[in-house]
Amino acid sequence: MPVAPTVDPAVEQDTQTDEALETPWNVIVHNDPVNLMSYVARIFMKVFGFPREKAERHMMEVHEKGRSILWSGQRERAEAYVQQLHGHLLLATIEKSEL
Amino acid sequence: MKIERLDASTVAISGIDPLCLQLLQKIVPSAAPGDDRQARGRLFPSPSGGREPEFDHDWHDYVEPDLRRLFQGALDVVREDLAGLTQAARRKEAALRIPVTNLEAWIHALNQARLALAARHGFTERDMSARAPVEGDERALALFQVHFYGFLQECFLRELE
Repeated sequence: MPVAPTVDPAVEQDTQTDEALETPWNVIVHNDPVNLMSYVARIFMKVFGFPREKAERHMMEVHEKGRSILWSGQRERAEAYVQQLHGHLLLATIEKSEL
Repeated sequence: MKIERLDASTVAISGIDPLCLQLLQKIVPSAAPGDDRQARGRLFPSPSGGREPEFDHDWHDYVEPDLRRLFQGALDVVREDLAGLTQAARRKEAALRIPVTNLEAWIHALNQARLALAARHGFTERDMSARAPVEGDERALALFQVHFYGFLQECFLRELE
């Protein structure tokens, strides 16, 4: 495996004002031993619209740390992202942010 | 076995030997989780990591049917493409043409099969990165199958870049 970049991936923040008062929910992707790294990065680009470099940083974080926060914001939207990620067979969960 | 782009709209797999042919024909049946709890759990994981049973239950009722349809759609595309397999009578090698527009479905179906097989056989990170196969038993063949499908996935992903 190639060495991971040392920069932590930035967490996407939803900035809509009506969501600002709520505790955000995180969309987490967990590591699994089967999904190909190239496939995982591709799905991050497709679902979240990330540029390749950012998608690969998140993918490496999943691989090396076991999980990565891909997005934070309103619960309903987080659920929709998890559904899309499950549709692509990634291990994704929704978790309340500890902020 | 050779995988190449024939033109803008077609990928060809040629020189498919009997073992590879058998593995290609196993994609769809291998992807079906059946009654295996591990395989079903992997293809349809809990969205809350088990922390919210009520949410998980609703997900099972309302979201999983859509996911099942999505997964089945990919398998149907692969099954139809495999129906077009041609066999060279003398050389015992088969060939297959796949429309580029079907590659996403192939990548998905191969992933379903890899995940279901790995869950069914309990493959770990260590198993997946082992250089030499374990003993020549059913588990070893399943691991080979997972790697073969991974190779195809990589090739198809490259075609889509």
